[in-house]
Formats: sequence, C-alpha cells, structure tokens
Amino acid sequence: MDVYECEAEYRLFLDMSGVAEEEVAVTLEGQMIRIEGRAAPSLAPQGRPLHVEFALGDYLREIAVGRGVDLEKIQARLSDGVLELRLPKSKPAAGRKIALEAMGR
Amino acid sequence: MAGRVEERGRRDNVAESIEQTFINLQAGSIPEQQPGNRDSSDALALMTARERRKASTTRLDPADLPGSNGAAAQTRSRLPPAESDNRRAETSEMPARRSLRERRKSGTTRLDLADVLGSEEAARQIRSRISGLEPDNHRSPPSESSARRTPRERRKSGTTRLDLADVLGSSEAAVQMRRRPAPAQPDNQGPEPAADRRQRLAAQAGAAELSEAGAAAQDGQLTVARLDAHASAKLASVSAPYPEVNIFDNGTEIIILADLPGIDLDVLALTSDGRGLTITGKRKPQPNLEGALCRLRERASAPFVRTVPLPETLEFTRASATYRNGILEFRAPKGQSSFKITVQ
Repeated sequence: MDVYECEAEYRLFLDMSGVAEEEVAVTLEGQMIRIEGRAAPSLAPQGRPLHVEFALGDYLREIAVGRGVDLEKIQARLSDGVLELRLPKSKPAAGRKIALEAMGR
Repeated sequence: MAGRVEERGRRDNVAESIEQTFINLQAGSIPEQQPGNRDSSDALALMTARERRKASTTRLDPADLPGSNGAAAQTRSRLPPAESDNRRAETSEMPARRSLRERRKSGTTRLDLADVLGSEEAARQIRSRISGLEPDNHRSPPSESSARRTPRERRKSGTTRLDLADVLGSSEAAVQMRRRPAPAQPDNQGPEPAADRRQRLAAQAGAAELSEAGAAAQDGQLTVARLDAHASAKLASVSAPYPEVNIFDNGTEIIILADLPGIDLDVLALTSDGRGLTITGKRKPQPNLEGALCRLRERASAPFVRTVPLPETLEFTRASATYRNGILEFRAPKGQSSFKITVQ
C-alpha cells in the first residue's frame, strides 16, 4: 500500500493482482475501511507447477481512518490490479455559538 | 561420603534416561537394566569425569554419560559397525575434527553430539535418523537443485565466506545477477526475429490484435524505452527478483504467470533468446501526484528486468501473452513435434 497526501485528499494505492472489479469489496465500518478482494479462479494454477513464487489468493486489509477525513465522500477505483482510494479531507468544523437558555426570572 | 553416593545415584538416574534416549534411537529396544554390573564396575577404579578433568584429560567418553563403563560398552556395541573403522580413520577425516580439549582452549566449547558419541560418523547417522522422522519438505523450488546450506551451517564447518547468494537471499537470484548482460548493449542486432517481435507486440496489445504497420511504427520507440529500462533497472533492483513468476506445465504448453499490477503496457517487453524469457518494463506512474507528500511506500516502483529460464524449447511462433487484472500470462506450446506454418 502506498499513501500519498495531496492538498485536498489522501490517496491510497493497493496492489491486488488477479482481482477483477466485481470481486473487490470496500466497506466502511465506523472508522475503519475494510478492503477485501478475491482472486479470479480462472487464474488458478493450470497444470503441473514447475516453479511457484507467489500465491494467488484473497486479499484483506483494514485501514484505520482518522478524523480528518470526510467519510461520506470516499471513492475507489480498480484498474490493472491496483486499487486506488481517494479520501477527501474534511473541512475543519466551524465553531458554533451556543446560546444560553433563557431562565425564567 | 554419603552425600557423594547420593549425588551419584541421582546423576545415574538422569544419565540413565539420556542413555535410554540414545539407545532407543538406534536399536528401538529398551536395554535390560544391569544394576549388578553397575555397582561392581563402580567399585573398580573408575574415575569420575570430575577427577579426570583434574588430571587434565578432559575428553568426554560415552562412559561419562550413562555413568558407567558397562553401559558405555553397550552403547558402543550398538553403534553402527563402521564406527570402529572411523575411529582409525578419524585422523584422516577431512576436515579433521579437533579433540574437545583443543576446542575448549580455543574458546568454542559447545558440546556436540559427536563429542558424546565419540565420532563424527555416528553423530551423522543419528542425525539423519532423527531428521528422517520428520517430513523435510519445506517448499524448495525445483530450479534450486543443489541444497544450499545456510550461512550458519557453513560457518560451523569453517567456511564463512559470504557469497552473492547470501546477500541476495537465494542462489537463483545470484545466478540471475551474474548472468545479467552488460547495460549499454546497442540494440541493433539486425532485424529482430519475427517470432520475438510478434510476441512482444502481443504482450503490448493485451488480447487485441495488432496490424503489422502499427507494429513497425512502435518499434523505434520501444527500442529506446527498453534501453532506459535496462540501465535504470540495473541500478535499482538488486534484491528479490521482481516480478515474481509462477511456471506451469499442462502437458502441451508452458504457462508463465507474472505478478505485475499496474504496469505500463507501452514499455512492457517480452523477449526471448532461447535461454529464457526476459520481461522488461516499469510501473505506470500515478497521475496527478506532483506536490503530494508521500506518507507510506510499500510497493516497488523501479523499472525491472527479469529473465526466467525456460525449461524446454518452445514454439515461439505460436506463443501468446495476455495481461489481465495485473497478471501477465504467457503461453507457449512445447516441443517441436507439430510444426504449423501460417499462410498469410
């Protein structure tokens, strides 16, 4: 995973080889982003393995998101096995003036 | 005096259990206890290990371990018959095993199984018997045929010279590094064989077809891009081989899968010189990242070159390559049994 911070958003890049668009699930649970992906079965080993260096399996990663992120506007995109997440930064909350309740006198 | 006898009795019990372990390993049977013999042999002039050490002959004997000479004779007789020969030949054993006393002087006093049993050969046999019990199949790729002892083992036997393979982590990586061609090879080695070029273009276009005219136009650009990738890849990646590949054989074809998410298909090149398949390329640079602050970087980003040795002669004229979801798949039929000539 690569994380870059731009002016207005955070961008995350995650490698998920072998995962098609319909097999990836990005869910938001509270302050955690949960990314799940399942490798396409068509890429499962075919034939006798002669030399195996990487395993094509499922992916799961959870990322804790701080308070500076606007959780409503998270975007995700998957292309060529790379998942890109954009997390826009939230605007600082404006101060609110709290009026005093009028007490009967 | 009474305390001494008690202590010896306790030691005998412990030693007895150790002796059991050794003998069980070898013969698989429990030796009969011979308490009578033991007492009488104790009554003989048997110096304890401590007394012998005082007399400065510190070579440990199997007799020390079981606690009596009688049991030691049993152990020795149970050891493989070649052991007596080895004792004679021990001096000519290469590398000659220094006696325990010499090694203790030089500072390495770690007792070994060979010290206890009296010879290196017996130790080796017992070790092989023990290791034969557990399945020793940690995943070793078939391409690394000669098992490479870890640096630790080699250090023990005295040859501690670090090798390129130690630095890189595997023999295969070392072989590849040594085999890597010189950087600035001019790429004008005559017209590229048609098979290679078609393969390369097939990889570029993914599953789509590519016309010959379009292919010729891209040729010049590709050559330049490949030189750059070569040069910078030589600087960049010296560690684990990238990309990782899986090679399969399904009877009629050899299939190579490469783990390559997010690469630039314009720069990807698949070539072969008969010895292996060379994959060259680089990752697609992420757009719109100027001025961004990098918070975390776990992914590789340098351009890469990797040559995968091919197991058999393949028919490159009928090879194909596709790139899907970050996996590059290369297929080529094996052998030269059937020969197809395509008519254009």
